[in-house]
Amino acid sequence: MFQRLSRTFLGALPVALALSVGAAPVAHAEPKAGGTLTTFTSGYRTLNPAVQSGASTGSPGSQIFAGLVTVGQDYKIQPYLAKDWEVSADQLTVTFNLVSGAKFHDGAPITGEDVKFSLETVKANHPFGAAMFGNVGEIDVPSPETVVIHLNQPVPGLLLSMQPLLMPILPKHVYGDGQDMKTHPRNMENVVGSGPFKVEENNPAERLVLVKNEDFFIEGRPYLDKIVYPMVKDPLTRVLMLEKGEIDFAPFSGIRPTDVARIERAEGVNLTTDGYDAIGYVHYFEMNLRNEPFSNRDVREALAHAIDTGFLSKVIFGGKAVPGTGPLHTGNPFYSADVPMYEPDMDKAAAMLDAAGYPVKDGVRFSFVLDVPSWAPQAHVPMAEYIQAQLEKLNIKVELRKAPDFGTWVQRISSWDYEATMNGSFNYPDPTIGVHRHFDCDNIKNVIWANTEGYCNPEVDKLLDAAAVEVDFDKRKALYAELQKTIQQDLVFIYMPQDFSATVYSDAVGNMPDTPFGALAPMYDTYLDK
Amino acid sequence: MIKGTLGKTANTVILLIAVLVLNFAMIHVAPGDPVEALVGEMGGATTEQIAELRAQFGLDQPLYVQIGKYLWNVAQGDLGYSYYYDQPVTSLILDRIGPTLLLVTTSLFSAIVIGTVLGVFSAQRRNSLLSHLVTVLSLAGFSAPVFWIGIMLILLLSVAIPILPISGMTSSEVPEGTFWYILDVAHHLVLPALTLGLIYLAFYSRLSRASMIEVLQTDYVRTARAKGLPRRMVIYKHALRNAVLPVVTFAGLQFGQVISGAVLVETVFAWPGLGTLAFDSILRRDTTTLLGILFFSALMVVVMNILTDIVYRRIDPRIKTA
Amino acid sequence: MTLVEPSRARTAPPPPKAVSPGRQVWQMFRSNHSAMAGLFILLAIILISLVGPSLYTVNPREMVWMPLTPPGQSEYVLGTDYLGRDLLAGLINGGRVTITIGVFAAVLTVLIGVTVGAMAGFFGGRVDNLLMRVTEFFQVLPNLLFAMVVVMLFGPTLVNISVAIGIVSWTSTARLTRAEFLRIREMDYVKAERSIGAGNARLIWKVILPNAAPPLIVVAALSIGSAILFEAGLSFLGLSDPNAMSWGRMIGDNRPYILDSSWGVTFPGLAIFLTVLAISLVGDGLNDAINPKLRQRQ
Repeated sequence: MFQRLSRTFLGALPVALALSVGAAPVAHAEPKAGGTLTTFTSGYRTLNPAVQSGASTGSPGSQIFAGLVTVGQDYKIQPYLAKDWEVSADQLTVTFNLVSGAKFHDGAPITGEDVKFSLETVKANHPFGAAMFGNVGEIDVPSPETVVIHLNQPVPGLLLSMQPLLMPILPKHVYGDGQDMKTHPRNMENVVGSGPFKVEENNPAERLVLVKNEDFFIEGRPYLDKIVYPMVKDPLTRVLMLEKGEIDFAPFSGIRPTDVARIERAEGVNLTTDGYDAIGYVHYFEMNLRNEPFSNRDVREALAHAIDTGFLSKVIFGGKAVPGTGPLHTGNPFYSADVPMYEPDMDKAAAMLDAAGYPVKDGVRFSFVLDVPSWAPQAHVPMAEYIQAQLEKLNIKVELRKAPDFGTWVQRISSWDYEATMNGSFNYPDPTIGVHRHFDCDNIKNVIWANTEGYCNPEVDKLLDAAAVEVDFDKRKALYAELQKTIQQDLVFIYMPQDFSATVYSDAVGNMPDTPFGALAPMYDTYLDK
Repeated sequence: MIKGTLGKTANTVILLIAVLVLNFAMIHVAPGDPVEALVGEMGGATTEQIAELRAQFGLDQPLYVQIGKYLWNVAQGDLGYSYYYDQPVTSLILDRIGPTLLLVTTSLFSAIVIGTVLGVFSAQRRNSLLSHLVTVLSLAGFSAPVFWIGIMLILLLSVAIPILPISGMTSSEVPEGTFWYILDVAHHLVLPALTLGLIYLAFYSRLSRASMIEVLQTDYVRTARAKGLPRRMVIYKHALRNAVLPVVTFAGLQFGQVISGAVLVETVFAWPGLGTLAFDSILRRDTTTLLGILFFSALMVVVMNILTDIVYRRIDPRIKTA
Repeated sequence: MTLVEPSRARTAPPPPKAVSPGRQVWQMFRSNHSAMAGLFILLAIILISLVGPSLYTVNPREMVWMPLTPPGQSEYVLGTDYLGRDLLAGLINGGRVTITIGVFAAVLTVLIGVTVGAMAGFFGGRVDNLLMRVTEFFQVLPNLLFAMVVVMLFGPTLVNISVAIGIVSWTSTARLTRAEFLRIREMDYVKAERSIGAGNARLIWKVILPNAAPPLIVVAALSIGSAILFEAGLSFLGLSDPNAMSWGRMIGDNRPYILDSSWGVTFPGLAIFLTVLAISLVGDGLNDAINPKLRQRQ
């Protein structure tokens, strides 16, 4: 925040005025160096975001590893390890010039070879590797500080994918020993990174401690001396610690809507729901479209009229979760509200079911098994239970099948052995990463979070293919608007309230990470004013 | 004698192997496997990535090969590698055994001591207030679900009157290895130990009382009393010794089942022990860790049985070595 | 538990064909106040569980009011849970599931335990050896963990949960049965029966078992109580049938919200407590009435 202001206002405004305009509720003095920021973790499998998606790894990972760029407010791409870059006229070549003298945590210089290695690693090992960099061809390193990327087709979201969360810069001399990256021991032991913070203590059962990288390539940064991530899995404890101010900064705090009032009442503690737009976490009721009755679109519409997501959002999620209206999260740059809406109307639902060939016979129209994933239970369980009780009123018998563990649920859905399930996924800022996978005919595979429901519409495929390579923002937006309308028209999923994610932070935190990536961006500008 | 010990050892080894094989087979027969769980955790993967992982973990080989490999490794002390935690299982277990032992030992020990005292005294004064109190307490401890007691205690002593921490073993600010750290852990230990302790207390006070009553009525004791031996001596020298035998037996049994016993309490208090690890590993299909814990638990039971035997022999003068 | 006075203790085991032992047991039971109290409570709970849902027709799974409403602030006397469901309806309906599983699991426990113990105690020798190995094996398995694994692997349905509990709980029943059979087998009247040509089956069923029954009946009764606690524990950990409302599940579901609502966890816990307490009192009363000398160690 401070950085951006100083860029645009170039010192023309008096310092005091510039500082009083800001997102933080408390006016801070100059950023102070020093201090230990206490946040938390609920458990992480690895510290290397190149092989693992999600916030548990991404949050510390983006501090340990640097990226070519960062993403600022309004999704503006900003220089980071790459001091500048050039895109060729035909959109098929991108040349990056790296900052001079940047070093890894073990002192070795960061070169173009490392950038090349990192991109290739992500492409091969990250769940979205193929989606993000599938169209990347040759990568040349003409000089240690230059990287030239050749594309087979234009990739509009390329730069968005090059921030540390999705493409961390890994040391080739550490990881390039031929071992499989997904289970490489250096992902947890003696981690050598490129970012503003180094790993001092890594004890996944208890805590993670990061310390300032004294040789960080941005002068005078980071401000913080240390970031501590104690392991706090229990949501109750977390809420109490937040209330008492024992945690300075808690992104993905996991608090429930019922906890909001309690947090807001506490002194010196603040709450924001900003910083999650780039993740774009949407929830939906997924039906296996291969079989009756869900293969019948009218049945799906009847259900859409029966499920009142407004009620769910207001009552169960305390009004804090925005009802979803389609495949794109409301905070996504390509979001369009111009989609068919299905108002709650039980009578209409009943009538449609009768007309579709599912009248009430012996007290039941039809029944199905609704799978409930074991993850994010605070979201999925209320939604599933609501649907069960609601559809019971329509004489539809819903049997809940709670997956005892993650593996079982994954196995069922990925092998298409289900009738309906609650589900959710991350959009990520560029729809090619997180949205296309659910609707592309080619992605009907036995892999979780691919096109598991079996939806295939050639019109949609055309839209997806066109939008994937369209570099003009407005044209692309129009294409995605059309996509959203079609998806909602076809009622592929029934979208549920979007995830309620909140960051809780204390008054002492200055320069809160407030880009769309929130705490998943590097926090070299953040400081503590205690 | 040596033959007996060899026989027993062989028996034990076969038992442990059987435990391993059964659990291994069961876990692998069920739907879903660790790779799928891992893949879901990673956020998804392509079919090629999945095949790669499978091959890497040796999951594409037939079941008997996998079992064979596993058994061979265990014999060498290698309990495998945890897919989820990225650590050898042995070190995982060793990391977490400490908190569990701390919790269980504290509660069990206090409960046994207090319970035996209560039981012994109330056996002698059968219609007193103490006796009735013991009865009520033991019934309550018996009938209330342990996790409910824990939650009620939290409501009382952490929420309503906030004098004790709600969960966890430590507060993050206190550095390890200092005196304050020990105090901090003790502070966090109170509620979980109290919860678990109440259950054990109910059990042991009842047990020791019943046992004491029975012993007091035996011919041996009545004869000793009739002979005019001082009451104290009779009680402490003889009756107590015999009354304590079942306590020892059960203590051994329960300590052996320490992990099972701790799961619920550890879950309520987010106590970082083997109980929560076991639960998590079930959730995450971390089969190697789960197997490791099941094996370790069986091992503990066996060890405790042997220890119990030894203690038993020292206490009960009537038993001769076979 | 009131203790039986020494003067009422019998010093010899009951003769094989006692005169109306049932009546004797009942009379002794009746004079035991706490046992009778337990019986009344238990009958009341069973009655409510059977008949309650037809009288109080609120659907326990439906969201009827604002979530986390305290008791007494709405028409829903005990308040609502975190999803806005009626707590009272949950309690009334939860009883069925809890008690059903408790009974099934106990039945299974007794069936397996008695069978194994009887075979081992009666036949002795190699059979005994083998069966004791098996018993040892199941004793060594960590019971809660193993039951969790079974339920997780095969799905949390009422049947699976009952089976899982039964599988891990039968060993002490087996040991007890075996001890009884070993003891009774040597009794004169058994030898007498054998000498007049009674076959094994007749000996087991008609002669030994009825005499071994007293402590077993008590154990069976108490097994129901421990099965209920076991099921509550599994439900609390999330391993309950998601389509059925059970008391343990209510505690588990509402636990994340205890900072804002204590009633969601208190009332179901009380229900479990009362039920198991009642069963324990009845079991103890039975114990005192049936075999005051062979007092159980638990």
